[in-house]
Amino acid sequence: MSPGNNPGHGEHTVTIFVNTREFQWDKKEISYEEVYNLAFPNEPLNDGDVARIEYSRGHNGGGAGSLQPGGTVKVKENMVFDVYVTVRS
Amino acid sequence: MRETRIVPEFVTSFPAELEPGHLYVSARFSTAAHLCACGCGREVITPLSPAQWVLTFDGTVTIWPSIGNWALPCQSHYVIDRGTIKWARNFTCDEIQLNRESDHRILDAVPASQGRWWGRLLRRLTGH
Repeated sequence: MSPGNNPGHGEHTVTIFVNTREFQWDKKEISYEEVYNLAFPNEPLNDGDVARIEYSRGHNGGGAGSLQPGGTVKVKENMVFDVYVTVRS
Repeated sequence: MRETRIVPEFVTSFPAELEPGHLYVSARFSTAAHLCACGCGREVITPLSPAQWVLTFDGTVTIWPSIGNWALPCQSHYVIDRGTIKWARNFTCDEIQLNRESDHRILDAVPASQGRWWGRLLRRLTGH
């Protein structure tokens, strides 16, 4: 889904923010790979490279944590994701 | 073309298409974005927190520590220092691996959201 592209799936659709950009998400969970593809469509990672995905404003108290490859997390209205591949050096 | 200068632009959300030579800073989400300074056109995201990158604004922008784009085909490495791109040396494959492991280990030890209270406060105040 692209910003502002609401598929119109009704009551289960929530707004999430990926690298500040707004998306509508119509599933209860989102996977590492799905978040990455929202952030960087058409930019596959090189072998051995891993994107860091950190979220906040999710479920479970403060609702902050990180997503690992193959992992999923429950989404919540206005949940925030940071996705980046750059390393501090 | 390699950039030599970068100017800040304060936004809520990053635009769909970034312009070269601009550093987009979102206080609401406590993160920044720019197009790789080497000119390859790839988007570089640098979340802002004491555990990640630290932004200083004095009319110009500084981001510390340096930006290692090892996952991009260009593998560029530079510092944004008072609005100027200062190029850093290339890393070997071994150095890249060590750097990546070290950086991720540090981040795993310190929750990235720690210290990002201003973003949470701003979102709470604005209701978003």
